[in-house]
Amino acid sequence: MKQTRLLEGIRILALEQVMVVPYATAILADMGAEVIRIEHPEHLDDRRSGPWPDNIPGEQWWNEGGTFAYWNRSKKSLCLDVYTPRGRELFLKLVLLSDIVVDNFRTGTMERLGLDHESLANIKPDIITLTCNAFGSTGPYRAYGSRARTIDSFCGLSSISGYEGGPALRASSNYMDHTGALNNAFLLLLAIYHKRKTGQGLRLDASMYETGIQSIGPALLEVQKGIVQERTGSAHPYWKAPYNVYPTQGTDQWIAISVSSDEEWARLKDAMGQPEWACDARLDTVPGRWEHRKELDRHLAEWTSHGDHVTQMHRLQQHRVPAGAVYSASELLQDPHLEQRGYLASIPPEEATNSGSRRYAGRAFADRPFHMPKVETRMRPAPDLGEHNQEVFRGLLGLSAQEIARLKQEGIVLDRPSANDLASPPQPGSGMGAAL
Amino acid sequence: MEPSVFSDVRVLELTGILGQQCGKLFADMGADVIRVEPPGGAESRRIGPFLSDVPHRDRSLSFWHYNTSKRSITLDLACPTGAAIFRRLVATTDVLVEDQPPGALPALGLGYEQLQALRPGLIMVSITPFGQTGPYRDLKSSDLVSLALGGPLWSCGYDDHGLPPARPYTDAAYHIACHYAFVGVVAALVLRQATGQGQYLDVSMHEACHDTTEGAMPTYYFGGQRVQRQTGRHAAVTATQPVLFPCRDGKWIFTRVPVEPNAWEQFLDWLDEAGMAVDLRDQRFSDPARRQQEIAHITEVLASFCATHTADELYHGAQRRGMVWATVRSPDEVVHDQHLKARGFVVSVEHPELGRSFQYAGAPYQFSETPWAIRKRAPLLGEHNQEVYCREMGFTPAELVALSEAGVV
Repeated sequence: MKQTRLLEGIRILALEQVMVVPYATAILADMGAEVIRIEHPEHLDDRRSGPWPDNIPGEQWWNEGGTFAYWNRSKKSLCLDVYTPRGRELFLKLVLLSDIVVDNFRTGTMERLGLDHESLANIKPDIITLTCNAFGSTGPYRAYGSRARTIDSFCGLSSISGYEGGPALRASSNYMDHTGALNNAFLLLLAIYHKRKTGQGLRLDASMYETGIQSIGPALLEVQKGIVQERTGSAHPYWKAPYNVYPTQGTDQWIAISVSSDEEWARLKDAMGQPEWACDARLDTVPGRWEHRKELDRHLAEWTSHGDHVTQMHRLQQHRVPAGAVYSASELLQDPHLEQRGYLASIPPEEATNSGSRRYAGRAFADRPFHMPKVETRMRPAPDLGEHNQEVFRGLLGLSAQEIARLKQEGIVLDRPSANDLASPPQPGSGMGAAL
Repeated sequence: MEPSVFSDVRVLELTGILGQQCGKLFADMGADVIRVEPPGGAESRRIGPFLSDVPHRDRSLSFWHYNTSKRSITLDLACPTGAAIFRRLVATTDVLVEDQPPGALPALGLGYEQLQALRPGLIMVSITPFGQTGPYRDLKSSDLVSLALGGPLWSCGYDDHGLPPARPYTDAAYHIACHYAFVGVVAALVLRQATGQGQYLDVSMHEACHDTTEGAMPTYYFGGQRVQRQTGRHAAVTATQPVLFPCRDGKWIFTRVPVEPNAWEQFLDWLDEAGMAVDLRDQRFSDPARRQQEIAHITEVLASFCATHTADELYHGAQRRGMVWATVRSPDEVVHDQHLKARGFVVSVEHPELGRSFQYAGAPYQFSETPWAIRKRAPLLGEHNQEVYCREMGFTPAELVALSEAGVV
């Protein structure tokens, strides 16, 4: 089937860091948008955060990090200091040639730089801007910061996650960064749709805090009913049982099982060979199973621990009982289902055109979880720092080689980390979590 | 109300529990979302808790949240008359969202090819546990099972690995799958806008969960190392220091030791104000690398500091100093948050049949045009039968009664 490069011709200037905006623009970049990351040579946190191919930061470590590659694939990099007057001026020239400007600075930063929506719309009336920050651009907390994990705490999610009697749980995997990023991706697509329909730009403001609250929307309604949510571990909060994570053979190996109907319970009994404890009329109804859930969990945990997590999963699934092994990354890399669906992608060695991708070519990337037959989505390498300086300054803005050289001399345009950064390279083995 | 960008987009939703949030994302953006329910009502109407603990298909709080701004009609797709009416509806539809088991709709003659013949520009999205192909296609799943098999659960839990991993509250797996589906459908709308072409999207919750594992995948795929779950903090290859501490008022605070030079000085000044910097002014802590080595000791000082302050003092004190900390708050505290009040985030939605209003989570994103809004509370079962069947499709009231008596609607 013929595939369209859906967003070809859309240019996005990205003043973005970490994940919540970068992952959104990466999704658009895979669909053909030209995303130009505007990077500051002294703010290289994203490029320092690893993980490194084979755990070793190479000579050009700033181009090789795993999370950087995941969340910035298919983009371009312009290393330009927009805090300087000349840098800002060049940025504004680029705005005239662009469709979208995104940022996830703290509230107020874009205003201070004179790069807020109004300023940009003055020179480019149909500009689309997206700002995503912690608490939105109004309200008493507007200048406060967040990371995905502090949003978990603040939005109410952590307090109702975790084991009974245990501390609050972080909804690990940066659920908020992921959800926020998906919101940002569709907001940008929606703005493109809107612009093509009306000819007008849009100002988009996304708040991570409020994204978090949306994710526990039903809990807000429960508060009004007087329900105080308790932590219940993995157990279902209301009525499903058995519904939990159970031990299997092996160290730290587990299986999730969820039964939500009498039929599924009957099938679970079959799968276990009708053990005596399960053939109990008290357990034949939803309320009965809920009332005796702790006893049920104990028995079921005993049964699951007689096999490994994958064997037990398939044994249960053969009887159409919802069950899933708790898979780690090593198991997912070999998951036959993902393989058969062609889900995992990688940068082929012949397309490894820059210093970073030459190190990580061939390694697996998570691809998109939706298959779109008519839209081409293709991952290209994440850019080396300042890789597209020449292309953008000469090709787009028409600067002369001398002018570019002068900008370099003045430290406004760079293609290497600062001396400070070079003096303290990341350590082997360092990666996500170590510095957090 | 201002017109919405999706005001001319009609969405038919044929979902159970998994796909219903995708419809909400459309409905609150102004699309006309019609939830087509079996005559007995959608499965998600049976999820408790219920208002006043009275189990009823129009009183599920969870259903309320996930179905704002939608319309509801009932229709039995399994009977030929019902399927024929559904086809007529599809002919007026832009997007069909469904989460039935793979193969179920084609078996009713309602697969994408068949429906596209009636509506060439139709965009259809199937949101299923494992997608339409592959060896797990027909396996059974749930939110918890998908979080397990897709990878997120591995990173969620406590330091004590004798305890199983624990799922975060909320139907996170369903949410993630619906969010990806929505991104895909909006992209498909952009294509349709340019070319008039529709297409079929196959969304896999398993893959959506796999994508939502943050550093876990690159850490293994690039570096060959597995992260381990930790209490309240990032799963990591090497254990890191605790970050959650109890405060004087019994609440908990999520902290982070600021290791960066400027932030470190500010942190010390703050500790000094309370006379609690202990030995952290010693020369040996002035070097950032050394601070990283001494992090266990610094963490102890931090824990004592937290124990003598209220959560609010710590939260605002840290944020004013540029440190990103957060109080662990309950949903109850969130509903009454001053910041949300000032922004008008929590919105009051009227339930006329109950003579009451309830507070709902509002817009997570704001626009200069084309606003997000809860246009109406979740529909009662079949609330829009007459509106859709008679006023919009032209059935006479007598025909509707006949359909109802035959159990079709």
